Amino acid sequence: MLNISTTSSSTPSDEELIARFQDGDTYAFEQIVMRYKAPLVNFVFHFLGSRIDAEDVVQETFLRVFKNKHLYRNIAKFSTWIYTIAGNLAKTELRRRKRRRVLSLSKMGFEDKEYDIPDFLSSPDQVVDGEMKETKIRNEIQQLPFKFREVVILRDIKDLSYEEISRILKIPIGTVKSRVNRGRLRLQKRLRYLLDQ
Amino acid sequence: MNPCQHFKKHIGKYCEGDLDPLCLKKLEEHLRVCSRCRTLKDNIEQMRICLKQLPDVKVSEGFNLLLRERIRREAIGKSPGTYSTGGRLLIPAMGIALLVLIIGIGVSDQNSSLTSGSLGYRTVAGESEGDFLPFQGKIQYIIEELPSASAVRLERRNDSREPSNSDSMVGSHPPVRVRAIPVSF
Ligand SMILES: [Zn+2]
Repeated sequence: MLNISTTSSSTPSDEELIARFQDGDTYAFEQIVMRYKAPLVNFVFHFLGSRIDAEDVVQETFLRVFKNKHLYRNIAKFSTWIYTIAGNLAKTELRRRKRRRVLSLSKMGFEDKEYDIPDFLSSPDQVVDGEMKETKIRNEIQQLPFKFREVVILRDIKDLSYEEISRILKIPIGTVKSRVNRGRLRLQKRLRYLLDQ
Repeated sequence: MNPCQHFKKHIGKYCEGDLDPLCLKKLEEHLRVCSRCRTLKDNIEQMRICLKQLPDVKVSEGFNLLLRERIRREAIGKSPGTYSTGGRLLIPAMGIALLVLIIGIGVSDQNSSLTSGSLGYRTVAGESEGDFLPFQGKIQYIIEELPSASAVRLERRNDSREPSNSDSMVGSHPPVRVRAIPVSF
């Protein structure tokens, strides 16, 4: 019997790779890793702002794919499935960070008060260019409330369709569109001084 | 709804060419007369270009190796214990290990037959009898087993009951055995 992947084009689709992996072909898993590691690390990086943490989350994502390969059903796109896993893990990491911050703040006595280091990028008077502009944009993305951040990242950075975002986040397309719009307006407000230059 | 609010509500669809012809006509008429909405539209379009042009971060070269190691550990049923997760698993383990060691050293100080220098710490990683555990510097070991202070005390009590001269006491005292396994990433 002919294998489906051998009859199709030379580059197997994600769905073909995961099917092969489900049949025990670990080389197919390696190909999935090669295909998705950079897009996923970049996707998670926009949430967490740290490459090391992003890589850690993506490692965990692949580990879960490896362990739960049988849970994937060929009714959804593989990319939707893996982005959902990575997005949920990034969310968990953010929640964990928030808890940790609250905890350390509640432990902080008067004497221990931490003083904020002034952010040289936060002054609109600064001339911002190149790398600084990039950093500023990344920082402002992270300041967005999570529900806006995730849709803006998926739509405007990862270039995913509204349908795909709707499937990943399990929310109606109308809600995705409205959140994208509100997210863009908020981000634009914060980046206005950069964009006017 | 005032026309600027109306424009704001639909600017997303406008930028993506997702508006019905009637709505599009209305918004374009408004854009011609409202500089604020024009600026808003220009800003959002420019911002979307900036977002698309954000450079990708480069994935570490050791990514695949580390993943392979995590999968291998998962397969043999060990928790990954990665350092890259901020030592979430290692730090509590190190804390407990350190506490037990401090208690152990405290006990040894009280015992005149032993000096702290005579305690033998065995590290599997270095295979050097008599080395102290490398607690300083980078955390790079997983502590596998560590006797409790009471177990150490009990062992000593048993030893002291045996007839022997004080010199051989030091030598024959069972060392605190700590098995440290280096993590490979
Ligand atoms: Zn207007």
